[in-house]
Amino acid sequence: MGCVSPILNVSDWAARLDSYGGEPAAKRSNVSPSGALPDDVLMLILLHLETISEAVRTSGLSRRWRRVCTLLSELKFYLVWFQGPCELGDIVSSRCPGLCKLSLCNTHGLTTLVVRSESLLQMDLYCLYGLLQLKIDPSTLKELTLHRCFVGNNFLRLLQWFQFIHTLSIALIYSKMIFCVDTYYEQERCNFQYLMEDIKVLPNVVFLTMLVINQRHTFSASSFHVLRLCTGISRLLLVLHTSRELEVKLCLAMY
Amino acid sequence: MAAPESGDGNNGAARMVTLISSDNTRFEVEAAAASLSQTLQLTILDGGGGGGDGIPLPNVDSATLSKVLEYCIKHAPAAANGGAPNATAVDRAELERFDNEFVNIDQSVLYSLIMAAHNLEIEGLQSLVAKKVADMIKGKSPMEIRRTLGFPDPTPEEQAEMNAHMLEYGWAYE
Repeated sequence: MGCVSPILNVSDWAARLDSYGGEPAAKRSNVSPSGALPDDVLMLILLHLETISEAVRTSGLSRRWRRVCTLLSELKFYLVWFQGPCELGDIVSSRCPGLCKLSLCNTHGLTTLVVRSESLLQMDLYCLYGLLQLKIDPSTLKELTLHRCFVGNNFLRLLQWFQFIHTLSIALIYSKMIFCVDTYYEQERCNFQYLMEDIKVLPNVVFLTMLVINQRHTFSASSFHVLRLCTGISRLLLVLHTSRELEVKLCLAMY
Repeated sequence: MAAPESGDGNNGAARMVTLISSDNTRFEVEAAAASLSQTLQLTILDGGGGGGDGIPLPNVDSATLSKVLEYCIKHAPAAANGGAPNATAVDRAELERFDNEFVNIDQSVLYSLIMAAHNLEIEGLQSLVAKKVADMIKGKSPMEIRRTLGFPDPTPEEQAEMNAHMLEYGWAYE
């Protein structure tokens, strides 16, 4: 078998990125689909795009890229404004059969997230403004991060639901003080208040990360209350935000 | 810093191996550098590639192999330190500078590198070139990406598909 010429011209390169099973681009430049970049190379490129928005835009390129997008094992959404009813959960459920890790951070307008996935092992949710409903298959999920996503009782109900989580990271805002500042962000944050004593049941986690946001309140008793609920912990990371500016004053790690 | 070509002496303490490109050029490199390739590592561990034998690489031409080895030689010391946890900031900055310059190359060379890194399973290099392509794509619209990557203009059928995609995933195009 002859070797591929060492230097390919640019249109060949394009065809290799794009070609898949007789796609038009491949036909035009007479490059056989077998010369295409392997799927895992395309996936590596997509993973380096860092956000799903970028990857989804890429999937608009051709059928091949669209297919590879669905093979991704990790999806990250960062700073996304959703408009209208968003079927993010549907997209993830139906088109990402290999998805293992889903991260959402700073989304606006996402009110419902229903994920039906047999592969999803880890979900990290940070600051999902306006999220009202979250449904995931709790039997497969092993790791969960929930920071500033739910208000009071909804959050507590959610925690009771995950029986099989072994790694949990939660932010507990321990403050009764409403401090009003005029930025949108701070107003939103005031809505995520709940007290640790309200937590009655926690999943039987092994690794627990607890971020305590506190404003000059004593929190040791309630921290111990939470710890008493998790008797199987083998590693605890306790992060205390005690200043108004949410600066980390003290970080304790016990292994 | 090109890889030395077809030497035959083992003049250092480090073990040397010979790699043979698809166009029959011989490259002699330190085993530690060549071992960054997962594909080659086992062969080298088994004692292959030494003496007059050489390891043939039928999928990699000499221009690409010399580029690949340039990367491996530069990265071998850090890799030998187990990802160099105690490397100085200066060392890391130097590697980063090298990496940035290394992928500042023509697209056709970049493509050959992607394939070589994939075939030889050199993790760091795979990641480096993938990141370079990703950077070329970031923040661009599908049409701009097509132009950047040198895709031909879309057919009316492809254009319609792209438009439909844009409608369906409006949020991704914000």
